[in-house]
Amino acid sequence: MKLAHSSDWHLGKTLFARPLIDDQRAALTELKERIKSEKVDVLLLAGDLFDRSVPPEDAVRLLDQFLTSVVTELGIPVCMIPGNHDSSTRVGAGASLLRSSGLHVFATPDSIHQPSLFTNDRGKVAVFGIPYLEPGEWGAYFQTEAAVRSHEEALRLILHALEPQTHKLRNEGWRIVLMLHAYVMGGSVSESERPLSVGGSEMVPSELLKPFDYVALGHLHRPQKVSFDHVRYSGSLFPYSQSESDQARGFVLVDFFKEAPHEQFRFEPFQTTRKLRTIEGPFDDLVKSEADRLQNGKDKPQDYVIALITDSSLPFEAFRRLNTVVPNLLHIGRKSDWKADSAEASDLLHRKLQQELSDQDILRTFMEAAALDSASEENRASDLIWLQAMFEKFRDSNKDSESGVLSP
Amino acid sequence: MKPYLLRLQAFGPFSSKQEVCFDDVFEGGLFLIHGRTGAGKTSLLDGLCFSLFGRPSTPEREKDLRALRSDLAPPELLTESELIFAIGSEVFKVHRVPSQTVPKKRGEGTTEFKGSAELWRLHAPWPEHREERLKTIELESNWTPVAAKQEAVDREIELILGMNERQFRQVVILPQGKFREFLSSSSAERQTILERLFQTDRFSRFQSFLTQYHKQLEAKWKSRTDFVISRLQGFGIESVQALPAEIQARESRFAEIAASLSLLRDRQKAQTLLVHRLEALEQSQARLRDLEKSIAALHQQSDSILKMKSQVQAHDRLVKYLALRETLQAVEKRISSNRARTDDFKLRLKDTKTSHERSLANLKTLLETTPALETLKSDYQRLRDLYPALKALISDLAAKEQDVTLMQSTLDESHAQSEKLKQTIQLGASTYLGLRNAHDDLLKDESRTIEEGLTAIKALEFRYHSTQAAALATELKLNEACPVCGSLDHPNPAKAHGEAISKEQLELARQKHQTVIDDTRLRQERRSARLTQIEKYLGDLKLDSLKATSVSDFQKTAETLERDLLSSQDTLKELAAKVAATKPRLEEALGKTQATRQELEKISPEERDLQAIAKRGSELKAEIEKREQQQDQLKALIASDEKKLAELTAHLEAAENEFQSASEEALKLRTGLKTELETAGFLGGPPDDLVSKPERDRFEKLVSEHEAALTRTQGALKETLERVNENKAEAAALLKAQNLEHPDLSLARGQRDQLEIDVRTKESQSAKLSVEIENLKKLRSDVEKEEAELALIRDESDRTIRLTALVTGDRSQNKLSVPLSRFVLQSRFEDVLDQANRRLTRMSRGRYLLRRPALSRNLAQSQGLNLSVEDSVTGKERHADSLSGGESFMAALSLALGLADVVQSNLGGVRLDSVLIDEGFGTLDAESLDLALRTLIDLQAGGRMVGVISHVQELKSQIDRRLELLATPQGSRIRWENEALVSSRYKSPPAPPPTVSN
Repeated sequence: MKLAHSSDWHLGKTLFARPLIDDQRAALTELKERIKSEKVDVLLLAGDLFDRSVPPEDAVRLLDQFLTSVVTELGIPVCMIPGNHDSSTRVGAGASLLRSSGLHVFATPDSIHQPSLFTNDRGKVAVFGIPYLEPGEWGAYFQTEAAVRSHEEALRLILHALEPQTHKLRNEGWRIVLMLHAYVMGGSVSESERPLSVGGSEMVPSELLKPFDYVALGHLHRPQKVSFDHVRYSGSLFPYSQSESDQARGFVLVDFFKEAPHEQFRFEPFQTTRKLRTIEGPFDDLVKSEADRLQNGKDKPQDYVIALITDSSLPFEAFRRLNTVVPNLLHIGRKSDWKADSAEASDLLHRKLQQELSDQDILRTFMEAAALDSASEENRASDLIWLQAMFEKFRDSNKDSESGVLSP
Repeated sequence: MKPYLLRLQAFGPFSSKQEVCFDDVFEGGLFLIHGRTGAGKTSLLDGLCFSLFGRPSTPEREKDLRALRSDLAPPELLTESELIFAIGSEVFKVHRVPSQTVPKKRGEGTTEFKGSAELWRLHAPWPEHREERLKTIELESNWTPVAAKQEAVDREIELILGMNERQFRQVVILPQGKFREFLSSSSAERQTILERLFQTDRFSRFQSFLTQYHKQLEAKWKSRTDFVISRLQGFGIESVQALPAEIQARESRFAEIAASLSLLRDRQKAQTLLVHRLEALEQSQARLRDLEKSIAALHQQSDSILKMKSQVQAHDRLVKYLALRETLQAVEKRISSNRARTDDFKLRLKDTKTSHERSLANLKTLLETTPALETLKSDYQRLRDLYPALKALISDLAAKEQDVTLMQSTLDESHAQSEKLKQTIQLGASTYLGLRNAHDDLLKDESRTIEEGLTAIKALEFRYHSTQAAALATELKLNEACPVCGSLDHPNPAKAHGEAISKEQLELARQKHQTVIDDTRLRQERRSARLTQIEKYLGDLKLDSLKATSVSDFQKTAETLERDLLSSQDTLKELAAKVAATKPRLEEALGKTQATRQELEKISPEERDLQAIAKRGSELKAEIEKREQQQDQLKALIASDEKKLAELTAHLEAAENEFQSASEEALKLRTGLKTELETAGFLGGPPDDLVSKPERDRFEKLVSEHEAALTRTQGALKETLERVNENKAEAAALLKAQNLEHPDLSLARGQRDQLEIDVRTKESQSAKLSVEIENLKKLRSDVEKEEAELALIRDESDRTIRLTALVTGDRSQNKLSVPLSRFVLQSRFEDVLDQANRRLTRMSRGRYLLRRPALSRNLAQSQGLNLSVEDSVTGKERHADSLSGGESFMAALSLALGLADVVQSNLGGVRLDSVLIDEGFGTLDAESLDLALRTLIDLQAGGRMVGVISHVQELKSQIDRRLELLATPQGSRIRWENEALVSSRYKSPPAPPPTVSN
């Protein structure tokens, strides 16, 4: 039995306000060709098919076209779960009707107990799908006493409920495959993923997934395996952030017919899709090197480009000027500003705020900024000390008069 | 400010009492307020704003407070609100009821209800957990009233929050459609808010404090300067500058006076000396005259004094003579007594010598007998040595002889025993013979018995055979072969002899007989063995004659014999051993005895008598003692005589010596006496006109007194004379020095007194001047010190002026021309922009940055707080107003968050720990929404409470804490969207059977 695993399409996503629908369409076309040529038996889609819970029409249309052609033209059944970007209700509409046609959508909590069973001369595979829901919703479904706060807790509940069923199937000789949209501990993140949980912990331990024959994961955008060879993220359809530039995109091919375990799971990169590039350097250098590139035809598929310039300020009409040599220029900005956008900058922000600025520091800063340049260094220093002492005196004299609701 | 619990009643769309607890997001968290349009999302913020400030969240809604009242609420239900909120670690509760029209309690119509407001502070500790917190806040007693009147509450809340309602709306609540208010407000308006938030008024106050300080310094300087001047004026000096000159003038005057004074003093001194000398001369001359008179008087007394002197001498000579005579008489008396004692000694010496010689003779005689005594002593010693040896020898001999006797008797005894034993053995031997014979006899008897037995057996056999044959014979028939011989003819058939016996009987008899034989043989063997044993014993004893004894019971006898023999043999052996042992000892003892005896025989027979020796010994001892006693007595006598002799000789010698010396003394005295008499001149006897002793003493005293007076007066006279001369010379010298001729004392005195007066006058002048100089100098040093102080004050004052200028932004000292308070504001504003930009670049993907317009950046005016937006795509600055809806929302949100960050970090400033954003997200495109949401999610990590009101579906699916407002025909309800609500969504139909495809 041969399975293909893909996820995180984010159909309808824009990058720097640039719609990516055409690139997404191109990627899906290649995916379709590849699963056809690989003679895949089942296609697994592990969530985040749309970028938003209310997706744009062209995104809905694209998915519809793709699924229709795969299921009806190629006759390859598709299993899919909603991810955190999807609305489970919307994605799950008509699920029970579609099932008989070969589209298996796991969108309700109940659906976890309804595995899709595939069998042919090349083996027997049971696919379980876990739709992405908030932990609280799982708590409500399992009617737990205390509110379920973490994804780990929810996953434990689900796997515990599935245990008898998987056990029985395994004994009957079925390969058990799980589809899950989650942040598995040990996976490496990118900037384009949306945090799963605003409050509690979003991670689930990889150990929980060990007993399955294959776990098709969605959510993290970098293609990777987590802790085990059979626990994998297929990665997103397209690089969706600067941090993902130069990363390969593709899908995972699972072939249980192969004997050796390392041959069973294989990442298959796409060949035709456009790339996302980040270029850095002085503006003029960038213009020159990109112009050369364009002339030499190196940039045939015309990559998306994010330009980070090291100049102290943006030159006049920078975007337009670079755009002439970089047709798919997404963004141009100063590298220093961009840095403020990174995760480290966020940490820095919090750290800086913890340092409270005292009045004495303020006085020093003022002196440094406002004192006449003609004043000597020593004079300035003694003036500062004088001023600080005066300020202390001033504060002490004020202390008594400062009444306080705040300081009882 | 962080809300904890909000209660609204009959407020806006909430007809009944509604309550929201923010416990879940209280420690920081992002939550969404959602609900249908008109469900009261904004009313919730209105409720919050109203609770705090008594006004709704937007000024538009403020127009008619009555509009706050819920139209759906029952008329009797009052519109009211209650909010529990925290500022830092303090928790407050504010309760408000707005003025409203209520139905009259009695009767028809309505009445006006006057609004009320109350503020409390929680004094109980703030618990960790929700349940306890709810319990704590419900308890009335945990709250302390802070204010109860509406105005007071408003004032207090503004103080607590550090901002008024308008400012609150700009930085805490970003109200619907108004979020860009802070972003686009004018620089001046922004300044007011920032001043408030950062409490920069303290820097403004600091500026006036400095001005005040400067005034104080000036006043101080002035008062001190005035004091110095008044002191100068006291000396008649106009200014500080004149002071040194004044001092100098006085000092030179002082020096002049000092010089003339010194001159005057010299003159005064000389004059005084002259007067002194003249006075002395006069005195000494007077004294000279007195002395001369005295001497004359003394000379008149000289004759009578001389007479007295000779009388004294005569008296003294007589006294001396008499004393000498007396001494001579005593010496002569001593000489005569000494002579008598010498004679006596001589006599006694003679006697003693005689006695001594006699004793010596006696001793000699006695000593002549001394050799006999030595012999006696040696004899005695020999006897004493001999006696114990002899005694031991004799006793030894006796003991040895006893040993010999004892051994001899032992030997004899052994011999006797041996004999006795030998007899016993002989007896045993004879017994043995007896036994042997008995044995032989027994052997014969026994052979016979056996023989007889054998015969009997044979007889029995015959009988048996004959009876057997007879029996067979009876069976024999003719021509039948005989079983015995086979003959067919039976010529002689056997006949029975005697009674028939059975074969068994025969066999029994045989056995019996065999037993007898066996027994007999056994007995014989035993006997002969025993005999052989006895023989052996006897043989060992080498006894050959054995006496036969008839013993009936061989066994017993033999055993007895055996036993006797055995014991005799042992005893005999023992004895023999004993004898053998004793014999050599006996011989040794005999030998020893012999030796002792020979030793004894060496001693003479008479000496061997112990008693005689003892007797002679004691005699000898007595003799010796006697002689020794005599000798000792004699020797003692001689010794005493010799001692006496020596004593007497010594006495005699002493007496003679004494006599000799006394004689010499007497001679000397006589000579002396004679000389004395000759000197005294009254050889014929003492004169008659001798004065008595008291008289003589008085004379003597008078004479010496007279002599002393004379000498003294003469000495004084001489001395006075000298002094007169001296004084004369000095006075002359002085006169000469002063060029005077006549030493007129009174004139000199007058001159002297005048000089003294002159000196005194000058001195007082000098002293006065000196004091004045001292005072001036002190003043000068005071002034100098004061000058230093004043200089310091001056410096401080200058510095104050300078730095006040700097602080107040005076161009002369401040290169920015920006006062401190504004600088703080601007730098804090820069910080705010910095923080805001971190978020804005993120949200806008690095496109927009908030900037203070380049033009106004360094201006002192309030334009310093202007804002513009830098667009990195165009590289141009734009005014904030020109941003699109979404862009300005991002900018406003960033600014609000940045402001909150900086305000929070401002030490002791206002706390902005919650942000409530009313809509605006709808203006964002999908991508920006994601970025904005990320920014908010990051926020909550800093402990910030972030509330978002939105319709946007994406937010609902991404924020899991949601406050839902439900509109019902009876009014709206608020509740946290909980699990129960979620679960109701999933009532899916039973699952279809699993599909198997392919």
